[in-house]
Amino acid sequence: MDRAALSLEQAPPLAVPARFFLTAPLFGVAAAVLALWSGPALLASRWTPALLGATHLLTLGFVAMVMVGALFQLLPVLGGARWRRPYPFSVAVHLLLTAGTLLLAAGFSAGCTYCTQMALPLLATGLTLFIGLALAALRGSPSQHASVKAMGYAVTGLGMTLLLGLYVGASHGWTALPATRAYTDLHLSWGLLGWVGLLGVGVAYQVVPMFQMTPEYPAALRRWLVPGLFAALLLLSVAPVLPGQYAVTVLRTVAEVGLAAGFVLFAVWTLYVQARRRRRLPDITLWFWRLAMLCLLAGALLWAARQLYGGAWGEVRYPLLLGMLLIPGFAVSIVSGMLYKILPFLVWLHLQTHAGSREARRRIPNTKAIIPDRRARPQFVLHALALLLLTGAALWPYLLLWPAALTFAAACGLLWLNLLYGLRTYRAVLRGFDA
Amino acid sequence: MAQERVLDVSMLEPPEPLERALDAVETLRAGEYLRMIFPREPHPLFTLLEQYGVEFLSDPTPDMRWEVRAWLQGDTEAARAAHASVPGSAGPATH
Repeated sequence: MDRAALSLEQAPPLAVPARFFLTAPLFGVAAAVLALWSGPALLASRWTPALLGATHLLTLGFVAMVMVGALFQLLPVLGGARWRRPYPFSVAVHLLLTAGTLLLAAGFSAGCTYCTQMALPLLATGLTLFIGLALAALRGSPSQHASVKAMGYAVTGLGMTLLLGLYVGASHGWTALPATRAYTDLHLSWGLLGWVGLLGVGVAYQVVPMFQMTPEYPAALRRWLVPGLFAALLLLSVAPVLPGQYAVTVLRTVAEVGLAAGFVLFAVWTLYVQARRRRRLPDITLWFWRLAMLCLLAGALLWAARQLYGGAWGEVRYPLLLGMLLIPGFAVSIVSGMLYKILPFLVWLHLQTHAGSREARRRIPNTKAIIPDRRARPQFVLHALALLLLTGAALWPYLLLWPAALTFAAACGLLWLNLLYGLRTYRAVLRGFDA
Repeated sequence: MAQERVLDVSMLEPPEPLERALDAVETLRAGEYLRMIFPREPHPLFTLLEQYGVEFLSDPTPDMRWEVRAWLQGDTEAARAAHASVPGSAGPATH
């Protein structure tokens, strides 16, 4: 296969993902500040306005922000795909996502209906633009890797999350529209499992064996897991509109059990291949991913326990605990781990493309020196401690909300400093090339 | 007949395979081509190879790895040998 025709412009400039990466941890700090400002009343139920605001600061502002920024680079690097005009479009997506998320959080937490009415069109425009560009880039990708296909399913999952979110959000902004609990639950199922979950699985197929030197995931798992999970989400979505209460219950149960089993399989297999990695060097991403997989497993176990011993047990506390395990626990951990791998690699790669000479290439630091472990490790410890406190706060908010929010703010702040350190290294080496 | 030099980086952690590949590419001479074995398709390498002024072929191997053959721009003898060395190749291809 002759690949000499690939152009130099294929990989977008580093500023494209860096903008998203540097914004994300600040949204984490904002979520923590909102939690501190609200106090333990934040966790009175899953429906408190401040908690809805904080949740979206994390899911849109932190998790989606990193994932969108990463895809601008990962599609070309992992899949050989080409974005159309990545620089101006990514700036537009970043601005719309940032402004839309801030307004949405204000809409929820301060009861500002006008803010919600402004937020929805901004988010709709920004995310639709991203989804359209990503699907077009994926269609042009020469790669047949399961990872690239999974990214297509995940981006479609983001589209479903957006549509459902717009409907539910519109009922907050324009009270004439009825909001139903079923749509909210579907919105978060698509968001957490269809978008974050499927992208996590797809990225893991490439990144875990490649960067952590583990055996490959089995071919059958790579081929069927993501389409199977996507089908289960579709089943979950159509179940409510089918005739007959019995059929609905059966289909929904099948879909939910399928989703739980699929993600448990993914988490267990990831932990298994990681335990068999060829290189035993300490690796911060590995620890973040292990933490994410344990939270995913704990979430699935909690869900199963709830189904088996349901009733009135944990009517208020169960959804809060599940949310803590899946959002800061699974989603923020997996995304943080990715950042520690992607950012140094991209800095290294972009320095290589700018080096120009062998002498200049010698000045490029090793990827492990771009964000050193001595900086990343304390951040991981703070993040893990924050998770422990957050899950505790879901059960005992009056005791643990304050320390949990403070620790989470510190972990996000330190992540931001670490990313900034990596980008400053890039600037410094680049200046050295010109000197 | 052009010489083949083999570099197997399929067991190394990123970005070491790319680093080793670029080191080897810098020492390419006329009349030889470099056959590099990667754990997977090294998309970022293609952009870098263009900058180094080398031409290349990229092919999957039967054991799910990836081979990249690179030679100096305009080295027709090395190009012909690189094309001919691809398993299943029908012979030298025009480039």
